[in-house]
Amino acid sequence: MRSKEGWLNALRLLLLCAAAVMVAVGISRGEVAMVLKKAINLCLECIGLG
Amino acid sequence: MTEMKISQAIKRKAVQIAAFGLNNCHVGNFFQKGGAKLYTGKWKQFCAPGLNCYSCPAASLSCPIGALQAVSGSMKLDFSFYVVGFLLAAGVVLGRWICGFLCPFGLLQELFALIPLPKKKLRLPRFAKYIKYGILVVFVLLMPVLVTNVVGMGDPAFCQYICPAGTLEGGVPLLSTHPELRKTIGGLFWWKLLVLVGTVAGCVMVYRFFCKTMCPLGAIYGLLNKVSFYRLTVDEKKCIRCGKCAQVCGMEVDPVRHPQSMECIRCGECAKACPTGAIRLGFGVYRRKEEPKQAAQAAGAAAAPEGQSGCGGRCAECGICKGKEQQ
Repeated sequence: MRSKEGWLNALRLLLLCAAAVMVAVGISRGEVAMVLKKAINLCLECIGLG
Repeated sequence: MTEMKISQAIKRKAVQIAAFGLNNCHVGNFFQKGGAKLYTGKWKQFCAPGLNCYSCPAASLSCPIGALQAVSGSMKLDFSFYVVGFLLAAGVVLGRWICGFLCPFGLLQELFALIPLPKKKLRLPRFAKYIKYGILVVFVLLMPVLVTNVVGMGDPAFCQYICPAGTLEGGVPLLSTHPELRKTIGGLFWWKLLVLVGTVAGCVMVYRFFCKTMCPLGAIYGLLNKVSFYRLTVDEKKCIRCGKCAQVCGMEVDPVRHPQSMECIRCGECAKACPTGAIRLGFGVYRRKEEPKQAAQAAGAAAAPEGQSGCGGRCAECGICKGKEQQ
């Protein structure tokens, strides 16, 4: 049980690290600006007009 | 005990309402001169954890599914590390607790379920819960990348063809306050309205119909339910297999058989219904603490040191007798 929990914690840590790296990569690629640009302009597709 | 159980449900509803309010705090934008306007501030560079259309005038954050499609459908990029990384982090920590407590559209679905129409409670077929994974793969991940225009831009297919949250939170308020937009209504809008009506009808007849069958965000968090820090644990020694937890579960999960089910939204109804308190939700694994008396019995009865009294012949290894001996 404890061994299984250890593996689970290791996997969680790995996924969290991967998530942090992905967010950093995304920010460096300028994705944040893309998200902001899409969000502050009217999304015609979202409201059924696109 | 009854009073405590009621307060847990109230706490959850309070968290849901607070999350809804935080996700949609710019209510004044509905009443702007010239029609409803969107919030255009910097907070929209951050994704909300739940499903909330960023074309809602009141929306303060970005929709993660919309943002994911926006980046992957762009000319330059085919995948969003930023959004996927955020969803991965949120899902590993909280899993579908987000669905149960933080998602604005989840709250709306629970409100739709309160509509008192004469209805027979429907049970969805088993395959229905897998539809959302298909929607995630096809509409959210593939179509924005593969179905592109001449300049290489893809449309957010889930938002465009399916998402009822966009129609309800964005389409209805914007079209009702902008006559110029109403002139451009076409077949796509009527299709989305049909999807919205169908979703609402589904929510009236089936608890969290959209969550169970259509939500791509629920699909992502559901996969991470298996590994999330926030989890459901069942004390096997306390569980009497009465089945009450499975009976009350609105998501049709058997918590005893599948505590980390991809469908479980961690609402806590099962824990509330459990007569023995065997179900626990929270961070970490449930480790049953032994009562001191049981610990003494488990350690084995041992005679108290000669001349000492009070232990009744059962040594709990408390060390008090050793202290008295030294005196």
